[in-house]
Amino acid sequence: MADPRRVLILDEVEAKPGMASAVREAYRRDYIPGAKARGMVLEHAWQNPPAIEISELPATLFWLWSVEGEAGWWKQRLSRKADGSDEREDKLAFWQALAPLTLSRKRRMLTDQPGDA
Amino acid sequence: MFVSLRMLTLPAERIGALHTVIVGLRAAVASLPGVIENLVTPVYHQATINAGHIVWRMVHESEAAANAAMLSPAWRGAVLPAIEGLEVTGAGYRMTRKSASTGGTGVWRALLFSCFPHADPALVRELEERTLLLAKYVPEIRAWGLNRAAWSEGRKPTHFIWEQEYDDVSGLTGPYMDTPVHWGIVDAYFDADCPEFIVDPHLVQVVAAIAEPVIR
Repeated sequence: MADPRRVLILDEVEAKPGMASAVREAYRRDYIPGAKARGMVLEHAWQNPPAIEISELPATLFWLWSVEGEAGWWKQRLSRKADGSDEREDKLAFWQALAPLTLSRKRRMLTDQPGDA
Repeated sequence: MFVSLRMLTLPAERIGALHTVIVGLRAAVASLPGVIENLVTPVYHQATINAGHIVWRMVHESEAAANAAMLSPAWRGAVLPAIEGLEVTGAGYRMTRKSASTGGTGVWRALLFSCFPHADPALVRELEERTLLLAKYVPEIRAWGLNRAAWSEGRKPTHFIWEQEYDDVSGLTGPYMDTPVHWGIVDAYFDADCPEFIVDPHLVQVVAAIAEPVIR
């Protein structure tokens, strides 16, 4: 049986000017632990502008996660809380709390391109 | 064609009467005017969400015919007594966007869902368009219908009825779930982690074994 394909999940959050640190801290504190508990592996965290925070400009923060195949993807998507209830309300509450600090966000699912890069 | 789809939930103390209720409802519907097709069957034991115990799907010539059936003496005299005490979840919809199979399908599935009241209409249209991509890219979907509800009843409103037929349930639990069209595109509208999230988490997913095509 073939190994499950690696599925990547890319969060892209555009922070309002001066809010990049607050967004970063909120994501680290309130999102990453839960995501890891759902089986997501944090591969990378990037930002633009690179290497510097310029309070006059928006900043885009990227977090790249991986999961093992379709099964791993559905595991994080259909996650349940310890009491068995749907975790979506908690996920939504996090993103709603983050929204006042941001201009926009995206979440995209990625895979390797076919063939050699 | 207009469909009246209902899912019936028996109270715990009447679970043992499942087949009696089914036989009684089939007989009651036989006395209703304007019913072209009638499916009354147990909900499949696998892959269902908030679906209850019995699927009841009637097809009428038109919405007017469906309304006339519900206003007929037979509705009050035979149908309502047959479902008395059962919880009803359902929707009525015109079958305008559909593709029938050539036959041989063994499983029918419907997903009933609603969008948040504040959902951006452009996102709702996008969700519809992208849902239809599943029908194109999952060959195991042998027949499908995606239609908007004219009315709904039950705990939550229903806006959309997304029906499919498969040869067997593995088409639903396997290829339908595994396709990147599903988890990579369409599911964003159902996923609280995505900014496209507009579908109320209260879903009704009902599956039933069928002996002949339901989507026509």
